[in-house]
Amino acid sequence: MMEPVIKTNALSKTYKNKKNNNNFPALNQLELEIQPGEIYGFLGPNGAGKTTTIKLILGFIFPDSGSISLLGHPASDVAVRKKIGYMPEVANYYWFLKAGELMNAYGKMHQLDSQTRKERCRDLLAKVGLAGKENTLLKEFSKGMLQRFSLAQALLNEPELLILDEPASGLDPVGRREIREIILDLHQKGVTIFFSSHELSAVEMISTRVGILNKGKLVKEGSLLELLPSTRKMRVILQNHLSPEAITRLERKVNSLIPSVEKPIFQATVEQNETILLLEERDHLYPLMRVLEEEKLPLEAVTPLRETLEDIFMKSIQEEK
Amino acid sequence: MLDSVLALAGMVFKENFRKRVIHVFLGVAVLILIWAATFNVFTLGVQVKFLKDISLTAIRIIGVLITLTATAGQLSNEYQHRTIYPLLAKPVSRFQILIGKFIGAIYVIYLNIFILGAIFLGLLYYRQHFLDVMTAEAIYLIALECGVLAAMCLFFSTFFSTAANVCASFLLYVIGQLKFGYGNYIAHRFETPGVGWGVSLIQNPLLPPNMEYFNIGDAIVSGAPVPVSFMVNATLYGVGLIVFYLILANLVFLRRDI
Repeated sequence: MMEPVIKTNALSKTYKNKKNNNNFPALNQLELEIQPGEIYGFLGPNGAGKTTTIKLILGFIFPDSGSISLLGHPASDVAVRKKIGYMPEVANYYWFLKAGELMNAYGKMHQLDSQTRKERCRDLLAKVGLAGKENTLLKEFSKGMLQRFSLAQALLNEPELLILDEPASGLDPVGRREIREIILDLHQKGVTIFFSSHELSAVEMISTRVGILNKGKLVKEGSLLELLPSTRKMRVILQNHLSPEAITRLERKVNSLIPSVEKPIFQATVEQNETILLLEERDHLYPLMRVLEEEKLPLEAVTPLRETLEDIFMKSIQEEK
Repeated sequence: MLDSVLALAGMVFKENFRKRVIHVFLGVAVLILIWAATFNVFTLGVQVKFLKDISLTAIRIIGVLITLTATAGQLSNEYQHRTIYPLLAKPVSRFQILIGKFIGAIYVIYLNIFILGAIFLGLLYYRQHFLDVMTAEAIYLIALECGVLAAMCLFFSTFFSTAANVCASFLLYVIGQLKFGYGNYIAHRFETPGVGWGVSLIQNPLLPPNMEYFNIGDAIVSGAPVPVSFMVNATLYGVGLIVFYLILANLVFLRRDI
């Protein structure tokens, strides 16, 4: 097995409030292992400890106990950050610097030569949709543009590990889609991506593995296949509003095609402009389709009725409560 | 290592140099210098003293204001605006960040003092018709004083907000200017053990720094000689203070949760 890109051992952090002597345990014995090439979606409600974990990984704050290794080195090793890109949750940069100037300065910190800095600055700004903005002061950037710039600066050193804290916040749907595409493109190139998000649909779309954090503990972790097992249940949506008699007729016809089953094979719910049929068994879909065709009932959609990541997320949080 | 420090210093310099308030300070100082040079009420000897007195005071005050503007928010603004996070994620140590910030701020401060000093010496040359080396020494000590103030400000910036830092640094600067002259007067005037203890506590050489030491304006105006040994001692004291404050700043910044 390859060495994990991120590994935390019993990582704990408590925030101390000196004013009222209240302590807030943000992380409790967190054990994480992110393997090379993964897109790891780090989920959790507000205050679960996601940003604290990222801050600890990057050395912004120090753990009370436990250890962190990045790409096989201790997280405290400054040199390891040459291989890491980081996009913060709040994209705020120096107002009185131009985009190109800041990229150039960051490039120098990564010890890139002048030509490489120039080329990467131009290419990355173009990649995130900021082509030709090198000489624009960052104070003139909108929130979305700053978020895009934030991603560009994170990719400056062609990182092996990319850490993204809520990468889609502040972006319009087009921007979100572009970021997703960039993440998937980087994944194709072998970059390991660790990102926190509230946007469960996006996490479901791109993650290869997901961890759900709640109250500083990892309450669920696994690949999407493990967390969202395949289902036999199906949902069939018809465009028509069917009367109870029509539903009964439909049931009878379908059941006549499946003699081994005596009870109705679906449950029907009638809504204003559509009828939803819930099938317990995927194999019953084909007889149903045949009957629908015979009856000339127009079909709206057929989808597997499985749990979404949101269901898993909510369940995990509820279980902890 | 040096590349990262210089890259950061360059960022600090560019950012500060684009702040309009620094241009305003510089413009006001230049106007004061020109006004003092063209104020033709006194005889030539008095005129030169007046020019030196007003100009050195103006350079000192504007130097202090530029120092506070350029340095007070160096780290506190980074915390507040969260610009520190992408920076800390780069392969730079916190010590490098601190040194880069200091060099960048010093670059801004010294460039402004250099411009003002050059204009002042030029105006003085125009009046006296010779290059006044002693006045140049006074400007050098103003620059050193601003360097000490910048280091102290950077230290406070590791834990104070920008506003609190400006207040604390300016207060300590003023106390540092007065702590021996007025301190001794107060101790003499109120001869109680408490006051005496308080004055002697303030009169330690480190906090607040003895800023009077860098002020040779009176000697320059009156034409009194300034020995080389004094300049050497002042330089050692100033550089020592800068190192002291940067070490303190590093100790705080190194272990600070951000």
